[in-house]
Amino acid sequence: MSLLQVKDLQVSYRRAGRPDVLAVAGADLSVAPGEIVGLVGETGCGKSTLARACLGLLRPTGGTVHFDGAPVTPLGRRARPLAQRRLQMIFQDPFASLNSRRRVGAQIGDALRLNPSPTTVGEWLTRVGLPESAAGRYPHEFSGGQRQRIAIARALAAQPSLIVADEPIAALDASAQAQIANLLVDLARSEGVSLLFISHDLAIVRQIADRIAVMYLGRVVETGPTAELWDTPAHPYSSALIGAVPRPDGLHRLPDELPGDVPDPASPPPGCRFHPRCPVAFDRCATEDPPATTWQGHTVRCLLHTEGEPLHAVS
Amino acid sequence: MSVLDVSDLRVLLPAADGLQPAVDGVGFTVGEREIVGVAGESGSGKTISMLALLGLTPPGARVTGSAGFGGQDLLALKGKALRDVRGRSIAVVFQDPMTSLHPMLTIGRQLTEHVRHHLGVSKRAALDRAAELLDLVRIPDPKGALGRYPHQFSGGMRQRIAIAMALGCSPDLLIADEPTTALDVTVQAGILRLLDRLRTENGLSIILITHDLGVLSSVADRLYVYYAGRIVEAGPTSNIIQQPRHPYTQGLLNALPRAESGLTPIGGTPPSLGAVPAGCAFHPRCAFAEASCTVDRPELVDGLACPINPLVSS
Repeated sequence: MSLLQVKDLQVSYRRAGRPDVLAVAGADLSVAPGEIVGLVGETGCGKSTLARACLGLLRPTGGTVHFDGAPVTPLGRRARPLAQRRLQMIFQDPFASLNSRRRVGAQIGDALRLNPSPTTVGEWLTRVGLPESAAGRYPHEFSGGQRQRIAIARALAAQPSLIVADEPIAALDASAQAQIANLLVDLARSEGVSLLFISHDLAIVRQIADRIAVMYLGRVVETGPTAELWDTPAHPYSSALIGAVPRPDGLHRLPDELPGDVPDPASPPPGCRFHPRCPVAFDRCATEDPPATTWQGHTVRCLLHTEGEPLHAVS
Repeated sequence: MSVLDVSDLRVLLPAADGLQPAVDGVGFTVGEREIVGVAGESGSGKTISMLALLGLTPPGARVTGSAGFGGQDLLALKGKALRDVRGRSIAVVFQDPMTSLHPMLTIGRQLTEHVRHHLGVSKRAALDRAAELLDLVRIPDPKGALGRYPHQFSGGMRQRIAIAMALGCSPDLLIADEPTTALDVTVQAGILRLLDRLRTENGLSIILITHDLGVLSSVADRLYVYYAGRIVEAGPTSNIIQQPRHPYTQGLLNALPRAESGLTPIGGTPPSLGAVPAGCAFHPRCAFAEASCTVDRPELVDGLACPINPLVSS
């Protein structure tokens, strides 16, 4: 039983005088209780739109999002349904996600009041590595990494069962990135909270996720257990992403280049959306939309893995 | 034969309580056709020491030391002599291509202005040169691209255009400051391959500034590791990455997502301007620190600024 179940989700943005952009074009994703899922993809692939739709911050054009068995209702003028308070979020920019005019303690206190809890604001601050005295201070008195710690404390204080974190470390200094990623994952594990960790950095996700979902141009093209997906990617795009990660091994190996840019989602290529950039594309890829198939524990959308004996993982 | 030879560079920046050292006595060289990597956390003085070479420090800053380049001392140049070097013999590419490209001028205009200024060629010749440069950095349809604006290109394409602009006057040295930090890994791979190709095919020398040791591992020949305005370790890339000798370098490597070690962050935060600890600036964060580390400031000896040398197995 999945805690979060996304089925054939579509989200489109309206544009004045121009056709709509289908930013998420039929994506499937699930997060099990206590599981940490990493969602990776290039800029503009629809990761953030998918996250916002999962949280009910955007109204889907099609498909469904279920959280804990019930459909997630898009945020309207009324308060969120009580059950959805167990769905919390952490955003990329800790300068924008905290209220700059309220004290840190008051903002974490709001979250504590959502669910009856014996914990206090001070305990949460301590758990994220900040002094209890931080409660009386304002967000501008903290660095980016410290603010993200506050955002983590606020999300966890609401006693969520799932946290959606959209690029929570991308805006931070290199030295703070590892600290914050570790803190978030350690706390999620100790609290038994599921985590959907969205990042463009496959190398980081590989370190922390149980399962990785790779997104390309509005679709999840492959999901699989982290180690298997890294070692034997089934989709050529996953393979290209992994090959482009520079290896700190001192061997002077240039990372592999993936030519071309992500196409405009308003006019996606026909057939497989990756075929114009795919190094192993063949003629059918330009016309047939690959269905999702299962291959050695991966779910993959690629024609190489649809018929007869599954081909070996592309290298 | 080195293209650039910097020694004892110091940069004092104005702060609330007087001038504070942002760069405190660093020296480095860049050889012909060499890619030199400069690593370190933000605020360690990497960028400001490069800006100092080009006379681009903020008002009120004081720069001392020497920087030999083409038979001249860059730090002694002023006015026109400095402007002749800047943008012509030494070019810079910054992190965010959207801030280095003018949003309201065509690519063609931006790629020809400095070429015409420095080299005094005709507009037509400069445009032909610009199209060549765009082709060199692999922009599709270079002639058509000259008439377009920066917003019509993706982030990776913009960075390629910024690099083409930097190459306009065939510089001897390119300073690339975090050129791939804002880009996706797939795009970053393309830019790194481009820099490597410019070095081998066009004989360019490159200083590549980044906090990402993975990036440096793939293209840099030698590394300088900065901490709190000083160089703490220097040497060939493979030696430093495979066998770091300074505890800070080891910490940086352990904080990288690698299969073996995982994410092990360095505890604490780097010191801020004007609050650099006495002795070895790294000692409050160092697991191997001894009493002497809080007193004696280690000098860079044989590529290492750590007299204890705790990581070398004897």
